Formats: sequence, structure tokens, C-alpha cells
Amino acid sequence: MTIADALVREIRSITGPEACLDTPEDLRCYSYDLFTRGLPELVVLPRTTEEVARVLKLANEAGIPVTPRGAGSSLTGGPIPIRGGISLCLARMNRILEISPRDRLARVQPGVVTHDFHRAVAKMGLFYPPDPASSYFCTLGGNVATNAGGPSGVKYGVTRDYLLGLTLAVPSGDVLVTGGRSYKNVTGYDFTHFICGSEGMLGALTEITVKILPKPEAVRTLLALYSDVGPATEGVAQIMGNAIIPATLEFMDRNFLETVDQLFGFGFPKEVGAALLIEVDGPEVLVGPQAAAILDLCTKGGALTIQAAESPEEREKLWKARRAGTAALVREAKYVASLDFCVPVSAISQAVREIQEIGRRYDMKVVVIGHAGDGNLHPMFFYDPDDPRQAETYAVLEAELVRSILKLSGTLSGEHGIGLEKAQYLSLEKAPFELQLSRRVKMAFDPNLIMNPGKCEWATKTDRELP
Amino acid sequence: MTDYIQCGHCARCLEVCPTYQALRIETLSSRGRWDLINGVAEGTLQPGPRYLESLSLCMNCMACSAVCPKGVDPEHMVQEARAKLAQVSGKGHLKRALFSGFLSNPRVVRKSLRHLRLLAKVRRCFRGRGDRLLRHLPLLLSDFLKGYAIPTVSGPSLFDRLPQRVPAAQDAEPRGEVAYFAGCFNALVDTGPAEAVIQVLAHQGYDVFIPPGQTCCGAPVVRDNGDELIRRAMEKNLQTFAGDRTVVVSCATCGSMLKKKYPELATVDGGPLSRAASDLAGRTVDFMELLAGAGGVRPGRIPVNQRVTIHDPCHLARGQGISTQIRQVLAAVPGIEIVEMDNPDRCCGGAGTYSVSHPEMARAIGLLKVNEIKDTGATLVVTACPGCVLQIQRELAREGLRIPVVQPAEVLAFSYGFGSEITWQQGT
Repeated sequence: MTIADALVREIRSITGPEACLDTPEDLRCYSYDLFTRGLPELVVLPRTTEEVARVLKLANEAGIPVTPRGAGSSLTGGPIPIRGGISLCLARMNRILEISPRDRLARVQPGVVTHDFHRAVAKMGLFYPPDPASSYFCTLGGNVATNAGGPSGVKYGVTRDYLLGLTLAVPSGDVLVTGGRSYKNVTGYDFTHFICGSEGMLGALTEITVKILPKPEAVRTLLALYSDVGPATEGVAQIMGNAIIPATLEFMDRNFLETVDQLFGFGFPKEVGAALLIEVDGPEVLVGPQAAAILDLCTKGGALTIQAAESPEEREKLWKARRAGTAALVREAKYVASLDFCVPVSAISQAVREIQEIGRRYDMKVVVIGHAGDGNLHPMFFYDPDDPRQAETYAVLEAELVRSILKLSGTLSGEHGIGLEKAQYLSLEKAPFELQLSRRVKMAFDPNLIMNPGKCEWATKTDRELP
Repeated sequence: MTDYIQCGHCARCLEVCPTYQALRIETLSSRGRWDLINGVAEGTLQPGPRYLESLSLCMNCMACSAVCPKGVDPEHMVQEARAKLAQVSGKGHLKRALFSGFLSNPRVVRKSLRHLRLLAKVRRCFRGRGDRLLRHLPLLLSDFLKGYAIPTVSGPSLFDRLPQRVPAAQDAEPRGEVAYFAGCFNALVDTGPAEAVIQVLAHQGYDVFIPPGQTCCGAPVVRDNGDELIRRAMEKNLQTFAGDRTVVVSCATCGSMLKKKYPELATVDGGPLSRAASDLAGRTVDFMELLAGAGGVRPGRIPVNQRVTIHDPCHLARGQGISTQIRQVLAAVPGIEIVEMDNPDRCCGGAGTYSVSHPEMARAIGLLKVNEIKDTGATLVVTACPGCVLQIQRELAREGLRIPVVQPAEVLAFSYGFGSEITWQQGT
């Protein structure tokens, strides 16, 4: 598929020449994410909903693929134009349109960087909880497209839980405005929450309305060290079953802690095999007793030691261990496959063991961390994808791991999305009828299949092609 | 060029890259530059005009390299790639020639600056206040040729104004002698901040030696394949600052040249030059670093009564790892309330002569800085780099904001009661 010069000229007349790029350098720079590569034939950087809709309409008429993207910080290949066509980059639509404390909502464009939004609402004493690890550079549009979560998910939920309304330009050139400013809204199908997580397969987001909360008054942070995965994950179950929902409940395994210790010199005891980073937030009068109750639970549950952050600096240090630890790990190997399974909280212990066991069996280094409070585990496997033997080993390992996670009533992805990375496993989790239905819904939005083609393949296969 | 670390394309460096933040085009971002350079190195990309544009727009602010979890150093790669291009194209020729002339004829340059001062005065009659655009002397000439505004030259150079040795204040506890590396802009063009540094040092109890043999640090030609010229400047400065005195630098860029670039450049030779360069690097301290260190700062006398926001220069924050020190020192000055802007260490867009070679991008990045300053409600901006002062001053003025921008020494000097000498309240 090549884009006719006349079409390029027409798009250029819509967006202006500086926002419609086709030099080899520009195409190359819109061809990658952490997972894969795919070269677009044209890069379009629209500024308004109208521009997006007009570009989509033209592409649709010509049958040109369109792959929407934001910062390109995805881990799954989701925003990569693997079938060529147009890379539709929404990063320039980055204005915060409104923050309304009275209506407790904000309207933003999709290119707003999540952290910039966090900071803007925080200045007004407000709080937008979803906090993916990439919040400093990912965009809210990408967060909606993947239904991003983060450590705060255990108490506050994920991106979908904050959506009030969306504006989506679709291939016909129509603009779908869903939901609105009302906190309750049961009028018609709930397209708002359906579109969230659709990974650019239905249209391109151009505006997002989200709920915002008052900022919690206080926070308490604890780091509990355990001898092994067993007591740590038992600790998770106890905390979660005890009517205190922590704001954060992060799990870290032995390999992770060793790296962190080397980096920051925490001086963890040798016998430490797992840790939980726990946070409670809320009114000042409540967080003290809640933290004490959790400390008590951890002690009874066999924690070796428990550190409490006494100051914002100490809190920052504990968090730095969690955040910078991941960064330190990526230096250790040529490539780190960062996975994203989610299992029921009661199955965490077994899931972690199976992940570690599979790593041992295939002799591949694995580190497990996760947002344990909601069962979201991030195993990271270290290998060299350019070494055919290692790549083959990893492929076999991954397929086996997927099956064991699904057996535990888990799911392929908790927050990263499917993209290209997990597309091949979709039919293991989804029944044929659901896939058929997915395809029909997709066709209703995008009859010519121009939106982000090549991703979530099973969802776009014809009924007969399905297993 | 194949031994560098592979980028994982995580995108962490995007939101710290000023050129990306200004235009939000990946091709003009840190991650994009890495991928382009890598493509050329592995032969999958033929460098075209857009490649050159992307590389030349990089300001070398080092923010990408600082944030990379894998230890990729895109900033350095850009410098290398640019040096290669300069070898091929011979670009930067005029700049190198002028710089060479400057190194060979310091006296002539200093004298001709006085004439420039007259010229600027005449010009001011027609165009209002001269835009104090430039920072490094050699470029002053090249930019003059290009028809850019002429900076206001404050008069005779620092070396002609002050004796070679300024004694410590009588009432201060003696702290020994330090040598002062003034930097071109504050030694030759706008001497006020340098005089403030010397006054403040003397007030703390330091005898200040101002060696007249010092020359430009060499920073102006870093982006222009100028290593040979920098070596000449380095040799002269190593000679001038030989000995065991602590060398105080108040310009962020000069400081990072002395501390980092010189030893880096000299290791190639090994031997005595290399030893001399690392010896000088070891004795070099930033002015703020010195004041925040052992001995403390003498308390100020006159309340400054300003809401101060601090801009961290690239060559100080990342180049030398200095950012808490300036806050520590300023917090102790009476009448100062520090209000932080959102991204104090994002490049202001000045980047040496970048604001002259790439005015549009410099303006776009400057605007990001100005908006953050505006949000703080600050009445005064403090930054320890003459280049940043010029750029931020100009961008604030462009937005119609009359907020003065000064170096930390000027604030201290005012509080110590040397205020009449300093023009910090006027701004531009």
C-alpha cells in the first residue's frame, strides 16, 4: 500500500506542511516502541478533532491504514504501524481544557502527559489516581487506549474507573461523543467504557473527560521484608481480607531486592526473599491507626523486619527503590521482556512460584514484581532476542507461562494491553463467540479495517477463520 | 561507532528533551536522534537534510543522558555525530577561525571591545536598549557580522577594573587565597556579576587572585568540531592556573569545561598534560559549591524582599551535579522566599550560541521556561550562568514580563550591602 501523492497533498492542506511528515528520518522516528518496529508511510500530527476526523475520512476512502499513537511508550507494539500507512500522532493535542473542582471533573486532550495532569490537578488540591510507571512520559490518550493502571489500582481502580466521556473520531469521518459531565449516566450503551482499552482499533481519541478526587490528606508508607514468597503473598491476602484497603500494595521478589540493595545500599538481611511496599492514605486521623493495624498483620504474618517512612524523604527513598530498581535491572540484559499478567489475589502465591519455577527450568533470569493488591504481576525475563537459541527458548517459555496463568483464572494483560505482543494468545482466553462478536463490533466502527491493522488479530478474523 | 549501548525505546527521555517538549515531533527528540544516529551507523539510513536538522537542533542539555535507565548517552552521540559531519562539511569554519584569532590576540580583542561599546551606545540611540544577546566573546564578532544585536558592554574588562589581587575583608575570618576564573562574558562584556562574586568571596574571608592570563574556556566551539582549539585554550589556562590554589568558577559552562571537558580531552595525550588537567579539575569548584561547603556563608544584612525562583543551568545541574547548593545558600539570605518552578532544570533555550543559530527553537523553548516562571508568581529569577541570564531576560521581556534575572552572587552582594554597585533590580 502506498499513499498517492494527491492524498498526501490533501492531508497536508488540512494539517499544514509542518504537521504532515514523510522524510525517511521522520518515518523512521515513528516506527518503534519498546516491543517492535514498523515503518509508516506518512506521519500526521493533527491539532484538532476536526483535523483528525478529516484525515480519517480520507484514509478510509483510500483504504490506507491508520495507527493512532501518543508518546510511543507502549510495551506491546500497540501504536506501531506494522502494516504501513499513516502514523496518526496525537501528542501535539496536549492541552488541559478544563479542571472543574465543583463538578469534580477535568477535560483533556489525548496528548496530555499523565504526570503533567497529575501536577496540574495537585496544584488545586485534587487528585487523579491512575499512575502507570510511565506516567512521566506516557499520555492520557494512551492510558485510555490501554486502560492503564498502576500501583494505585488496588484502592482507586484504573483509567476506566475515571472516565465520564470520550470524543472519538471514526473512519467514516463522524465524531462520536460519548458520556458527558454527569457522574451517573445510564442513557444508552456505555460506549465510554467500551472504547477504553480498544487500543486504537475503533477510531482516534480526541478528547477525554475524567473524574477527579480530593487529594488524600495524609499517607503512611511501610516496607515489610519476608524470608520467602509464601509469607509475603500470605501477607497480601491477609491485608486485603482485613477491611483496610491500602492505597498501594507492591510485591518485590528476591532478585529484584538484590539489585535494589546493590544500588542503594539498604542493607537488607541476607535471608530476605520477598518484600511488600505498603501505603495507606486518607484523613490524618485514620492513616496512623490503619498503618499500625497493617504493621501488626505483617508482624504476625512472619515479616522479618518492617520499616516505616517517618518523613517525605524516607518515603521517597522507599519508592525510589521500587521505581529505580526496574531501571537498574534493564541495564543487566540486552532486552527485558516485561510481562503483565493479572490473577485473583488468592492465586498470587502460586502464580509467583510458577513464574520463578519456569525461569529456573528454562535457565532464564526472571524478576517478579507486581501490584499485588490487585493481583497484577509483572514478571521480567532477561535475554538476548538477537540470539536465535535464546529467542526460541523465550518463545516456548512464554507460551507455557501464558497457559499456567490462564489456568489460575488469570488474564493475559492487566494494564499494558494486547497489541502485537500477546495477540497470538487471544484465542486461549477468549471463546470463539466473543471473538466473533468483537469482530462485528469492530466492523461497525471501522468497516474497511483501516484502524491499527495487524493488532489483536483474532478479533478481526472472519467467523470461519476462528478456531 | 558501534560500541555504544542500545536504546530500548522506552520513551523516558522524551519528556525531558526541550526540543521535543517545544514541538512534540519525535524526529526532533532525544530518542529520535539516537535512532537516527544508530540507523546511519548500521547503514539502514541515508542521512538527509532532516538528519542534519535534527542533530543541529540538539542543545546538548544532557537531560536525556541523565534520565536514561540503560545508560545510553544520546547527548554524547549527537556531539560525536556532529563532529563527524563538521569534518566532512567543514561547517563551523568561520567560528573556528574567529575563535583562533581570539586565542592568539587577547589584548586586541579586549581593546576592540571598548570600541564595540561605543558602537552599541550609538546604536542604542536608534534602537532603544541594546539586546544583550551574546555571551562568548568570539561569537560576538561572528554574530555582529550576521547583523545581530550588539550586547551592552559595561566598560573596561574585569582585568582592567580590578587589581590582580583583591584582599579578604578585614572583619572576616581568613580562609586563604583562591583563584577566580571569570569566564569571557562576565570578564569582558558584563562585569557586574563577576565583581559581585569577588566581593562576596572577599566578604567570606577569601583573598581573591584574578590571573589576567586566563582565556576563554573553549565552550563556544564544542559544537563545531573545535577540539584542537579547545586544546589550545586549555593549555593556556592550565599554565595560568598552575599551582595548588582552589579555582573558583561562577559560570556553569566554564565550570563544566574545567572539571570535565579538559580532563577528557587531555587523557588522549596521557602524560603531564593529562595530569595537569585532572589536577585543575580536582581544584575547581563552582562558586555556589564553595559557599555551600565547609565554613558556611556569612549571613546577609539587608533583606532582599523577593519571591525568588531558581533556574538550574544544564552545565551546573547535570554538568556538575550542583542544584541543592544554590537553594541552601539563597535560603539563608534574609527576605528571600524560594518558589520552585515545575521544571527548574529544563534548558532555557539559550545553550550558548544556540539562541543565535536557532532563534525559533530557542524562542519556543524559552517560552516554556517563561510560562513556568510566570506560574510561580516570582519577582526575581536567579540562575548561575550568564548565558541563561541573557536568554531568560530576553524571553521574559518578549512576553512583557518585567521580572529581573540575576546571578546568585548579585543577590548575596546586595544583601551584604554592596548593592549600589549592582544593577540587579533593573533587569532589561
